[in-house]
Amino acid sequence: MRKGLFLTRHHGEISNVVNVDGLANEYSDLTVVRVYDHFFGKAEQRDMLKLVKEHQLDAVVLAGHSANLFETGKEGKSFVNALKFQGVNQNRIVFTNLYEQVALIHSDQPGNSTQKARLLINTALAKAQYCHKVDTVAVHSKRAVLVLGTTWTGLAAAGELLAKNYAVYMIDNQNSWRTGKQEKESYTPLVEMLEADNHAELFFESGIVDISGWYGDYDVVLKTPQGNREISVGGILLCVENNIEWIVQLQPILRLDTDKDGFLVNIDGKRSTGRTKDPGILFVASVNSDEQLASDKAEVRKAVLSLTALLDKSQINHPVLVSEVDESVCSACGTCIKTCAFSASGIDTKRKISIIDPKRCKGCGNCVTSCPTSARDLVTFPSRYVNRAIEILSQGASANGEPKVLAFLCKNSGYLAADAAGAYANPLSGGNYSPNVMPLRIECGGNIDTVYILKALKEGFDGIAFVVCKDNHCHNLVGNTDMERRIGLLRAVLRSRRIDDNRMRIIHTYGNEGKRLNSELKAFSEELKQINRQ
Amino acid sequence: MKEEKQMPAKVSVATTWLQGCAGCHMSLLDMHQHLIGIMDMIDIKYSPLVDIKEIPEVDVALVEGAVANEENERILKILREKSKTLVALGTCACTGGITGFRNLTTREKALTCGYIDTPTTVDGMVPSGPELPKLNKDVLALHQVVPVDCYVSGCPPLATRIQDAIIGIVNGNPPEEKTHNLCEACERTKEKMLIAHRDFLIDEVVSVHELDTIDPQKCFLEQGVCCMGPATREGCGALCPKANMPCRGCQGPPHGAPEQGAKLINCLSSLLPAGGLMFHEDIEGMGYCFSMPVSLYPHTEKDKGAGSHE
Repeated sequence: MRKGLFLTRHHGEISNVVNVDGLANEYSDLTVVRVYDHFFGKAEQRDMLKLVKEHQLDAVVLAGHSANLFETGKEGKSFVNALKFQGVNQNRIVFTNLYEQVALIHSDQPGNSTQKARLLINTALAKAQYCHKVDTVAVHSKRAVLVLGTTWTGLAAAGELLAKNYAVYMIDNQNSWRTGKQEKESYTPLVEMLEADNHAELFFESGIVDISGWYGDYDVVLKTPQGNREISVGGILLCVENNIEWIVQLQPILRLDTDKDGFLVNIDGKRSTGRTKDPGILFVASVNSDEQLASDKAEVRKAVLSLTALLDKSQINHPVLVSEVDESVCSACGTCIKTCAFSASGIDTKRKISIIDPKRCKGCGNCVTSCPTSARDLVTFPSRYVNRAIEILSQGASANGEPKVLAFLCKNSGYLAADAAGAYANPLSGGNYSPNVMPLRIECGGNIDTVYILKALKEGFDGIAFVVCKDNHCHNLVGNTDMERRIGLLRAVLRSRRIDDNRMRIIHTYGNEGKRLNSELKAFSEELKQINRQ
Repeated sequence: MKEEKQMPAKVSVATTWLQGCAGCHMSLLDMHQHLIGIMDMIDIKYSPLVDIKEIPEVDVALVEGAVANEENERILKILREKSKTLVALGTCACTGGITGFRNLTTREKALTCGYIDTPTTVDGMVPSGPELPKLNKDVLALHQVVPVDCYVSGCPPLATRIQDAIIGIVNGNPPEEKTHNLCEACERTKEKMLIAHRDFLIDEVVSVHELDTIDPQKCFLEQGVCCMGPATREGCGALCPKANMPCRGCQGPPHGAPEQGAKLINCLSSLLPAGGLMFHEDIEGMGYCFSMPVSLYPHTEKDKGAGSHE
């Protein structure tokens, strides 16, 4: 495999702490190794793409910035797309965070930082080595949108969508318009249009029974007074206002996230209009008062624009994230069916093996963990990689007497919180968590196999931290709770072995709670010192 | 003499038991009348079943039991050297088996427990002397000591499987390991297991003897009984479930998932209420009963977190 390693000094912010150029010299066995002053300049990116093309690289490791920057940031995403265009598989573009999670957080410890950076780069190289190529499925996006809520924001959204030539299905669980009388009058033409337009359909007293698919192509089963009705839409817009009861009903079906008051929140954890965990499902935050009509209108437009921007692409490529089932191993015991929160697992009774519905699968890895025969494997974080990563990360020297900690970071919360911890690192020496805390990014809490924990103990880690989403905030609904059940059982087992089960600590976090994560990890290291002394 | 010339050359075989219970040899004898046919193909040159003291060069060595002491290790190494095909016979030889449980404690404690602390022992003492082989630090499966060519798992392996293995080896097609789990062979019906709905199969966890009636058709997990089937290699044809008892996992872990106990935790926590499992079952004893030496499971009494096999 031809691998390329690109490192960034990030204008000295990384290279002042980590010996980036020294590290680069250690990897001369790779096909290409380059150090840049920064990653996001045109000349630098052109140079990297040229090298990828020239050497026909199969895998690229970008050592510097957070993976999150490349997966959600605009600049990062476009560079990743450019790499993919050069023929590098999505799964073999690997990121190592040497900035927030090394240089910023351990700025007072250059020696340990360089060692940690080395291990993280080795881990990334292992990921490039062990990750299979991920296939994509091309989807032609449907020019139809399901609008939930016959509120006036719903009405306004429907109007905008119809004007953009999208078909609209509008449903509500009650039997009449939710708009106030006055609002409705001001929208009479739109209501009439909706009721008459053959591009629009209205369903009262209806709800969603089932949904499968991905943005651009959802199959939705509606329950209407006339019986079940299957529709096919490209996206879904929630205009349910603050109807908590309905939100509670919709929550498990659409993977909605709510705050402690029961209001919808977007993936940033804010109540403002935005995306849910599923990119094709958006919601309009509504203030619902006459004075703020104008600002609500702006919210509607914002939501409609971001949805149509997504759906206006003629073709959308969705990665297939769970690998095929190994037929020679699976005997259709059904554990995966019971584990999956999205009804994505099933049994092919003829061949007597379990099958995965790629349109329902969210790639969370919970079934992979639960499978007692290891017949399944996650494409994004294969078990061979995670096991190898644990081995590599355990090589960190504990020269300073600090306990060795493996921190599993859920990519949707823990990893972001670790980034935030770096961004708001304590400037005082010793104010941050120890460099012996080794971060390992994983898909979801449900992705944590008990085998990984035993492996980490065997490799000599003093403690293991699981940094995952808070209750009811798991992007995969049950990943964090299933992980807790597994760890709970393992705790009972370890106690019977007289291993202090406090060596495992679950830390629930939001992605922005960097400071808290920092102090939690510090406290964990302190406690481990106590345990080690016993 | 004339007869012997017409017969094809017999395959020479050595058998032995290391740290085991002789059960696998009993299973070998359980072939009954088929033994006559087998004896036409093989010639047993060395075995606890025959009276020969020296280990000769042989084609096939059938080795039962795990490696637990110096003598076991010595014999195994000689057999490896003098045989062309070495077969791990039975679960102790394949994955360490029940004997492997000693790895959870130190050898001193194991000896004290066995020879002194047992309630029926009066004035006990740990036997010692130059004629007694020393216990190794850890019990190991055969492949952890020498390369193994072929595995026949089971506690004990079915007589038919031993027979098939011998016939296969004689004909040059050594048997391949089964890769599926026990559910493949189990004929019990699953209902709730196959319904994609997130809830436990049943609200409580029970032992078989606590059930008023054991449904002979229904999956044990759906009846609230811990069954090792999902985390166990197929190879016995689901004998225990057929006899209305849950699987104990004696075939060892399935191919590709050597952590039987950890996998059991992963799998059961989605199926049965964890609280019930914790109170009811000895997950360690159940999950690792047959595979402790090949597992990552920590052996704390020896060294803090890590369990190493020297």
